[in-house]
Amino acid sequence: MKGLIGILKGLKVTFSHFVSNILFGKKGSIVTIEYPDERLKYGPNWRGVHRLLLRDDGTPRCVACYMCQTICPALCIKITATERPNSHPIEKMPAEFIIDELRCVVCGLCVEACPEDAIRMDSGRHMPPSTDRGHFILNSKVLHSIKGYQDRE
Amino acid sequence: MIGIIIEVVKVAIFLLVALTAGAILSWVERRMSGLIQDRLGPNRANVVLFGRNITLGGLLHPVADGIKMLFKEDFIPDGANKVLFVLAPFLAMFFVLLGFASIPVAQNLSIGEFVLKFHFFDFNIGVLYLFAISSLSIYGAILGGYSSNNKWALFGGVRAAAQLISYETVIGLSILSMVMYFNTISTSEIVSKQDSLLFGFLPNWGIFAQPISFILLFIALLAEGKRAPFDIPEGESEIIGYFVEYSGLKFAMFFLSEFIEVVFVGCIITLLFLGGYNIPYLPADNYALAVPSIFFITGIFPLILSYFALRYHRSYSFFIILLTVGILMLILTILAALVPQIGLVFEIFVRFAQILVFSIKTGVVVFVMFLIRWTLPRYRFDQLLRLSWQRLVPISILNVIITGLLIL
Repeated sequence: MKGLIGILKGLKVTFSHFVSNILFGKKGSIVTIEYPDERLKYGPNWRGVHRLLLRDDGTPRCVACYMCQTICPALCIKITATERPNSHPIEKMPAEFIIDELRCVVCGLCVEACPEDAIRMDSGRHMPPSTDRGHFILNSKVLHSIKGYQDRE
Repeated sequence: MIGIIIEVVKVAIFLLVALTAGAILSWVERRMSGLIQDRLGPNRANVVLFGRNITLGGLLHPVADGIKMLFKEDFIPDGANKVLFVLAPFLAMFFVLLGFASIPVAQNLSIGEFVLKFHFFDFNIGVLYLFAISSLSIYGAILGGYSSNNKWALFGGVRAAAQLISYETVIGLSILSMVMYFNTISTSEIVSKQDSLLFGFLPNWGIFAQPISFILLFIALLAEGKRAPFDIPEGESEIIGYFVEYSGLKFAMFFLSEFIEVVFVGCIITLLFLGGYNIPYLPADNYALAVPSIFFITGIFPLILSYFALRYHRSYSFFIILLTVGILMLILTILAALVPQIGLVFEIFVRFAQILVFSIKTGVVVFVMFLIRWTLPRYRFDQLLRLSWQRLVPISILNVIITGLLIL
């Protein structure tokens, strides 16, 4: 008899879950995200593909200080420095800024190290899959063109 | 001649309904387990019609499963007893389907001299037949396990046999007290005897007249149908079960026969304990109010659900299906209220309402069985036997004695 009451209590729990879920679906207690159709939004701190930022006048923010290249534990950043043309108050800029996304361990240290806030990982996107390793090596042109997470909304 | 044609049509309709119900129940069970566990369950099998993905909320999964099983290799293991191995799924299916023969789903309908019966055989020993057949259905499991040349399958078969033997006693004894109470073993008479009122305010259903017998029989039938928490013959996590060596359509037959057996158990419970096709509080000679009200309730319910389907599930297909069913039932309500109370048309309405009531009651029992499956963990083998021999059998013997004393 005691066992039967226990069974009835258990049935009450499952039944209440069933009713609330069949009536209210995801407004009930179902938390499933049907992935290809629905996607979670990444938080603002989520680290995705790198991007480089531009100054207001359209020149790169990067001053080729090699901070990111030095701190990178995976040695995936390769900067070639050059002088800026004409008499810009800042003297250095990268001639080429190459990131090998296959070597990158997505630690975010380059973003922390950058004194100019020139490199960020807030693109909000994964590196798209490819069968060609060359596709994962991004140069400065590509890196400058990637939009930020907030800009894309 | 016309009698034979009608019987053939009845068999065809029954097979269609039973097999479709089995397929749909496999979907219901999966979706329901999902909803109970706060998941969604299978809902992605789709066809593209007019450029839109039609999933019907996952109702196409049974179809996809059927197609998949049709094209699987029909495997017979080395050293298996080929005759028995092939025979086992057929036996499992055959006996389950045979059991439905003496279940009346509505009153007889007389058109002139001809009498249309809503069951296949009207035995005067219908109840005995029901339970004889339901015990035979275990042969599929035993033979399947025995002939597979696989130790796990053999274990499954042996467990099924031991389980059947233990619970058959309980079934027999609780049936005995039911038969003593109703004083008949004809199924149609049992149903018609549940038409009156008990103590003046309860329907004279078996569940109210014999509650202990109901609980015992329900537990025992769960065990006999190999349903959880008594599904040790096919315990997925320990032995895979008596059908471990089966593949393709033979496996599908085992699978389907299990779900049809669930419906069969639901029918038995409805028949003996829930008043069969009787509409509560409205006796069989006063259907003028009962028929429209039954149609009205079954019409309103889908309409309410259709709102939820659209609002919270965004399921247009289910919205349309439920809306159509609801509106059809409301139209039937108006028609049933308008047609004259005597005559063939109203009689047909009454039979339809009775079939509806019977299926709703069966559906409720099947629902409870599914709910139990997703609530309770599986019994261990010794617990299963102890529950039967040390608890249920003494209680059922006591129940028979008390019933006998009360009737005397």
